[in-house]
Amino acid sequence: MTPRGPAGPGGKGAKSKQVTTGKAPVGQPHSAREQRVREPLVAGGTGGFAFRHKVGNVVIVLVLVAAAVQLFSLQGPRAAGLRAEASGQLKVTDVEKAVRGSLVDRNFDKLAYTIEARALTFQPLRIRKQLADAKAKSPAAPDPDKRLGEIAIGVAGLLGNKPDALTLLKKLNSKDSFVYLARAVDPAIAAAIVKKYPEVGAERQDIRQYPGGSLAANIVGDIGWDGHGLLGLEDSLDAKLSGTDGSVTYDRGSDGVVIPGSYRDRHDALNGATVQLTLDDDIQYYVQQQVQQARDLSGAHDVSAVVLDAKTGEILAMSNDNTFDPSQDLSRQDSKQMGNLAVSSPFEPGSVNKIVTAASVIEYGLSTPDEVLSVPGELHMGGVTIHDAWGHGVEPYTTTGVFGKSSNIGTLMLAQRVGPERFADMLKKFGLGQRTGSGLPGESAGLVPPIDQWSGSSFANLPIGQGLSMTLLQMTSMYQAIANDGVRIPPRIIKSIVAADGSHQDPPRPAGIEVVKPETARTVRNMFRAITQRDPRGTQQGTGWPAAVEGYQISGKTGTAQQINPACGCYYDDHYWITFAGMAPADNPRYVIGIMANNPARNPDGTPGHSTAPLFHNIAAWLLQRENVPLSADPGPPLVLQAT
Amino acid sequence: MAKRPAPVRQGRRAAPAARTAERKRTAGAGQRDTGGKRDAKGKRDTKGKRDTKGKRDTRPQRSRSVSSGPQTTPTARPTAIPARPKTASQAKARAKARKAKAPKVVRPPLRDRLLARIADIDFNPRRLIARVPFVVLIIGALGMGLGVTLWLSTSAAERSYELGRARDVNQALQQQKEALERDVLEAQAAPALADAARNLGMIPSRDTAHLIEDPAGNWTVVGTPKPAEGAPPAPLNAPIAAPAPPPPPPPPAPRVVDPREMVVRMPDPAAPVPGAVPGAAPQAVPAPGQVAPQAIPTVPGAPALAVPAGPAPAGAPAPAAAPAPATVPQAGVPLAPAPQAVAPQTLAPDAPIWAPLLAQPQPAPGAPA
Repeated sequence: MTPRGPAGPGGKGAKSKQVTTGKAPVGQPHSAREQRVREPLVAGGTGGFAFRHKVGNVVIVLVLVAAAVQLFSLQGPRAAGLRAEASGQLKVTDVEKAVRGSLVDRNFDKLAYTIEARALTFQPLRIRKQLADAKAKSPAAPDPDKRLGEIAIGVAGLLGNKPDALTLLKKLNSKDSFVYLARAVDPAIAAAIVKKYPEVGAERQDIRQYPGGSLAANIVGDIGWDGHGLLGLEDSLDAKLSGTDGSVTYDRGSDGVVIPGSYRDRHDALNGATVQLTLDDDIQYYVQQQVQQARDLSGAHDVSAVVLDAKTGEILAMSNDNTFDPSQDLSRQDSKQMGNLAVSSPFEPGSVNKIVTAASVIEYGLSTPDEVLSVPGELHMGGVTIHDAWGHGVEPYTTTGVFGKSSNIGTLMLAQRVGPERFADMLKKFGLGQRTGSGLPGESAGLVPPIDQWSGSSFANLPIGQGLSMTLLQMTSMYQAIANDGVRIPPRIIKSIVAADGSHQDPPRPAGIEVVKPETARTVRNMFRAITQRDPRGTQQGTGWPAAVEGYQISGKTGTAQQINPACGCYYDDHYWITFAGMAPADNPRYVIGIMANNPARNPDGTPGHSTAPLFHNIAAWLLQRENVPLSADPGPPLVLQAT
Repeated sequence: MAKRPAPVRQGRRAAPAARTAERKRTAGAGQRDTGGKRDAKGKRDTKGKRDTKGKRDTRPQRSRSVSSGPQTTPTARPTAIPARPKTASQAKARAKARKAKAPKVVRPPLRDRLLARIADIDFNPRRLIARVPFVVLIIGALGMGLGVTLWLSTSAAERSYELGRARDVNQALQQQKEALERDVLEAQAAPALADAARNLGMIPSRDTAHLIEDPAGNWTVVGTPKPAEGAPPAPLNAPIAAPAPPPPPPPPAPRVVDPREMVVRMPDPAAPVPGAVPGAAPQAVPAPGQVAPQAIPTVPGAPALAVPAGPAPAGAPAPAAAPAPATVPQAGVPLAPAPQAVAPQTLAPDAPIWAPLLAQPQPAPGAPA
């Protein structure tokens, strides 16, 4: 090849010469005349083929050397930089969003789950400019203002007038470069809108659905605009629920086409885990509705209730009134209760705490249910004078009667037999002053003064439930210990955590704490039936008789605690925490229910009085009927509260 | 090529024979020239290169005839070329001699030639195959490969379109399923069920009685059976009240009265002046719909009240007498037996239509913000 290059022109020159000089036929030698007239060729100069051959070779070598040098420089020293630059122009990393896990109740009914939706976007400045340009270019294009009006009306129509056309038009005409017209739009509707109005964009947005609205919202909580938890379990379990976003990297040409085979670094999104709660949404609904109704009728500041499974300590329902609704705009629910009062706000339990004294007295064999005590009308103890809620002289109450009628004096007399040390020990065993570890966020430990800080009057207050505080969950957990034959199982809310791949990460079942002996628990349960015992004559009637459910034995304890007046550091005379805790049925407990009403003006059913026993009755009766709990074999032997 | 069998070649004998004859002659001429013309050749030595090169194009056979293979060096080797005729007469003589020497080409008639060619065609497949050049095989394979590739890529592209369509359909269906599931979940959530029950007029039962059978087969009633009573519980999820819209410009009258609750009394058909009623009522009844939100609700009430003020008491049920149907359809009111019930119905739908025009933003419960 190489040697032929320079030879080409030479051959051509010869041919052209032949054409001009004569018409000698091909294959014929030159005629003699041609030989005579042809001028001789000049030898030397640059005409020689050998010279051109050499020059050509040199040129080609030079070109090749230049190419080689450039090649080396591209592949060698500049390679890394160029590669980085190229990949920077090509590389695209897409994030694959993980789907947030669901929160389900014990029957796998969804309390919170995520579905895909669209957010409608708009670029007011850019679109207006585009429309104006189009109008300037051709008069046939629509007038910008008219077009924006059309969009506003059309989009509002497709969105069912939420938001309405005027709000939309305001956004379309805003001075922002980017606005969200609407969020959480159904994908099909969003697609229709984008097709009809290409000026509007749609962007993927996962929305959290709370089908029950405020149902269990105090526990479930809510997520913020960024899709991460804001309140409740959504917040505390965010790491488990949110999963891990996946990503994939690939190269894309300048025309936006994916370069085949360039997918790499593919990490699949790991969807969030599904968290199964111990709640039952039907029970939760009923309790929540009853609590709300009780608050409305009683005029209380707030009302909370907790339902525990007596055997397992699982929280079946936990509610407070005025719960916010996570399916609606949080910022407009300032007046709603965002927290979970049953675990976050401790209170003084009042007489409900007398179960500690009762359990201790029976546990240590210091009294029997039938022992008759002469209870005076007032008692001086530790420098304070204690009265009962009703005035009386010396009355022959049985031990059962002391609790059944909720006699402070009788309780303190029995507590003195127990002694402060054993009493403090028993408080600890019942889980007071410590967090329950239920898995709910924002849990308060309550406050139990340590025994070395007790003042003289402490032991006159603690047995009757003043001077210490507990959360409603702790209070209910105390009664769960008695209901479960003396073994307290710390309550918990998370039943199971199912990862996206189906593997279970169940939190370990908490070990039971033996608080009292099973016989003690049975005796105390039987004794506390006295509270719900009804006696038309009044002498053998307990304080919480409205709590009784016909056909079932019910044990429980009413409580009324004076609230602290922060102004004087003393107790109010007219502000009360009204509590009730009980179990149903008492002979074979299935459910433990705790209720607290903060300073109600009336009973939960609207009748005059200060008792939450009717609310307990409603919840217990509904629960027992719904769960088909067999009736108690007998109503139980009538208890003697007051000896004659 | 090398394997080409002899019989095939036979048909082409004529042309190669002529060529060899020429070759022989040239060689002979060269030899003849070398004898006395040495000086002439030496004189032209300098031009020799050029000449040969120039002549290579025009007389390739002659220069090739000497060298047995292709030219391998850039400069052609000097060859023995017949010396040029010195004079014209010599040239003529040579030409004459050449012509005389040239063999006569005898062309058989076309028909014979064609017949010969046809007769030559060999239909033996083995030999036919053997005759197919290797290149044809390669070209065929390439062509077939190209064709198959084209077909595959076309069908792949077609299927990718199908796949894309199927994906779109799948995604749409997925979204539809999600939306339906959402509807189902929302409808079966406890609060929604309670709402549905309330709408059916159901109320929760309390303290149900139980029937139990003792071992002796006697049935006893535990509890007191009684009908459920009371009001249905309030809904758990009430839509949040939107921030109160700014009141419409001038509230001239006590706006406490909700127009929906207002009682518009229909004129009593038994009124003494039936002729006046159809005229008055059409004015009065549309008025609440249009005027009510701006003006005072007492306005529509006034004329309506004025009519029955005479004989008929307010609560008089209006049986569908002759004048009443005449007034009612004009007012756009569905025919109903009780006029008291009719009035709120007509007013209620009107109010939300007019309210947003007067007061923006409209209270949109649950509107995504």
